[in-house]
Amino acid sequence: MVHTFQFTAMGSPCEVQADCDDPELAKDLGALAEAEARRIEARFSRYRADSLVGLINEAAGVATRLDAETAQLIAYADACWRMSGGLFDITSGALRRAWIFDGSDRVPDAESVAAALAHVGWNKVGWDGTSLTLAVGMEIDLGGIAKEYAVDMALARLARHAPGVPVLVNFGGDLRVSGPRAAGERWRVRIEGIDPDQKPAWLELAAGAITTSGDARRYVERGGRRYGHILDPRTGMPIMEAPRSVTVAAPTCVEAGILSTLAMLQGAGAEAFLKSEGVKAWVTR
Amino acid sequence: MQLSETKYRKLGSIAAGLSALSANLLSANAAHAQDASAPQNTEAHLPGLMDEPAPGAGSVVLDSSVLFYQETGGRVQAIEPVINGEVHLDNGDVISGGLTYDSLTGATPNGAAPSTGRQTFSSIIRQATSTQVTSTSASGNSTVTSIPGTTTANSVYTQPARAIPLASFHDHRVAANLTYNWQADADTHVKLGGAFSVESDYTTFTGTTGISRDFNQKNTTLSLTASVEGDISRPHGGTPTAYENLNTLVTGGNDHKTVINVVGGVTQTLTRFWLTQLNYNYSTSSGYQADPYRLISVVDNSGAPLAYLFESRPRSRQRHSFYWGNKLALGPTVADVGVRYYTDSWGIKGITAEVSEQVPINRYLYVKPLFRYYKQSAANFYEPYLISQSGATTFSGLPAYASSDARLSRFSATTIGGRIGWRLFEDSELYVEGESYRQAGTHTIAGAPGQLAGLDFFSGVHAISVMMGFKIKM
Amino acid sequence: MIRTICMGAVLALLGGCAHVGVKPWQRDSLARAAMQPDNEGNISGYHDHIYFSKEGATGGRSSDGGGCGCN
Repeated sequence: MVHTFQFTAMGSPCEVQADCDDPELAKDLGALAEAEARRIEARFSRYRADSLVGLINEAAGVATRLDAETAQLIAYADACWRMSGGLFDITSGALRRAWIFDGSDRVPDAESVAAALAHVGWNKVGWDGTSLTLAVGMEIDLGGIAKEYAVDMALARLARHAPGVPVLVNFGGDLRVSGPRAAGERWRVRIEGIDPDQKPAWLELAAGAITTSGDARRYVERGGRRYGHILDPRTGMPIMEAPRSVTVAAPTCVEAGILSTLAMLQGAGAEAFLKSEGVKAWVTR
Repeated sequence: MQLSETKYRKLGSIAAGLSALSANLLSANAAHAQDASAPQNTEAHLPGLMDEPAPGAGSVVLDSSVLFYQETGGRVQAIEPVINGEVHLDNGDVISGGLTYDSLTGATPNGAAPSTGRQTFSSIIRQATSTQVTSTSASGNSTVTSIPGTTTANSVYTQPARAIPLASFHDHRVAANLTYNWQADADTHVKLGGAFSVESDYTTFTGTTGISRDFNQKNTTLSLTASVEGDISRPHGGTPTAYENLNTLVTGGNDHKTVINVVGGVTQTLTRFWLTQLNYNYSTSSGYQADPYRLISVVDNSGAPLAYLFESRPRSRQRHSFYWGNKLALGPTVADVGVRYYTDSWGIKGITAEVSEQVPINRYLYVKPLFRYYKQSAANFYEPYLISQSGATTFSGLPAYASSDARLSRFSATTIGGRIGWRLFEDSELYVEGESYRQAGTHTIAGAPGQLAGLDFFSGVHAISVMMGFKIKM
Repeated sequence: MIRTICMGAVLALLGGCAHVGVKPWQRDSLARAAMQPDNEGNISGYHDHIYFSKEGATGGRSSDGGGCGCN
């Protein structure tokens, strides 16, 4: 029997589903996953000045020595930046100073974009593998991988605590399963609708992770054109002809997350990119 | 919403690089290494209409539908709306029930043999009043004329020459059933159910019980079901005795029969994609087995009809049925292949072979063509007519039993049809099925006496069925 | 009699194949509604009714009782 444990973390509705007969065990597993989510949120949230990321962003030109876990994450982001030719860039958060996606029709002028762009670019960051130095005005944002990383870490923690219990960990739509359900059935999850009038679909999952990137909620609409919220860090402009959503299936949540982000960044070429990479994905336009 | 799905292929360089990077990141940061035996792969699937899982605990399924059935040649026509529901409780028990209503009209062979001249069928029936009334009875096309001074009347209808004589009728039927299926433990289910069916001249009550048990990690299921059925035959004119002449007043009232039915079966998962089932069904029936309206012609050596007698059938019947069915998931399609061998104590042997294939067109639509072939031998007392050598009005030396009912004759039948299923919205299905059922058998009877030689005795049907329904899961 | 023996043998043979089948996590395809043995719903009732009233053979597929006087 599947028991569901729900909570809110990292600004999103989260849930843990456990297929077991003991509701107390399911509650314990849910609490463990919640604890892991809070731990990662406390360390890596951009929105908390007391988080590690907050501290790094406030350091302003001073080198910050990182602990092992954070160093691993930064190394991961660094490798992704190189592999994606600069498309995946954790310093791109500064662009939101120019772009405000609230459904209004305010599109920034070229100077504002250029001004924001000056503080964007991983190549401008000092990273030697243990210490991180950000120039004044730059910031890092691990939002692109923190939630997915939290899912993977939570799942690993549950697997250690209760090996053999099939679980599904879902943090705001980024989710992963430990394996098939107790009697071999697949888990059924909903892919969120893009707009309220579009129908959400069920997805069946027996192994691996699912993440969805989309521009449903945050966009600027002007002159009949929808400027999605995914910005190209190299130009400071929204990716044109980005899909409405990309849902990727991959063995781990972090992989799925990076792949769905990279696919969105390909704009019109999202499907071709996913196909050439041999990735199982669903793209809606 | 345009949804495109990419197919899995070998990983490209970015995806492969990410895969290695991610594994590194996670194993470095997890306090203990990831479980090495956990499968590092992905199995995600966007299910279509045919991938819906079987209803599980906590779901309610409602299926409502209507059947339009029409035999060619003015024969039987029926409309049958049905509603069935299943409530799956959280503890694994299932309550299922349904209601059926059936409206039948048309004409059906009355059992008499065709003749080169018109035939008049005159029976004597009881009447409430003794005044002269001409009306149409339950046999739609007959004329009822009172016999003055009595409480009886003549019910008369004629049938054209060289045609199988038909009697028209109309009737309504209501039926209901309810079953409770207990999940006694993880592997055992016990069921108890009842049903009844009532029409103007027939009532049935049935009680069913069954048990099934799973073995071998649910790969094998053994099941045993037993049911007892009591049927009460309440024909409009009373129940005739065997070989009673049509033209005498029937004094019999109601009659009944009891049927005991046992089915034992084994269902076995052979592979991930192949489920097979073997069933043995034994049935024993005792009591009134005849059709109270059915006649058999007694003809003389020239084939001319001498009299119409009510048929005679044994008062018991034992049946054996062996069924072997398979469900095969062939790629995205599901094939259903089954054969049945039937034999009974009346001498009928029948074989049935059925195949259908459910094919998804896209996520919302499937088609399911089907083909069925059936062939049976005649009952050992099946006679299209009886010949009287003496030509008298009383007959001696008649066989113990005789019936000209086409259901007991030798014939074959094929069904060709197909269904379309459409997912209008989540967890629902709109379906339409059309079928053509055609019986085939010998038309003329070799060695038929006199005028009967060369007449067409074949009364098999060709029927078109259209079924449409809507199923919803909540 | 012979038939009963044969049936029993087949059943025993199948019951003895303890290794034939699939592991619980391989049941995904078998869990689909389309693969259940008696999943025709209302249509199976219609078929039973039509074939019962037009043919001599009955039964086999499932254990349903409740016939009617249909001719």
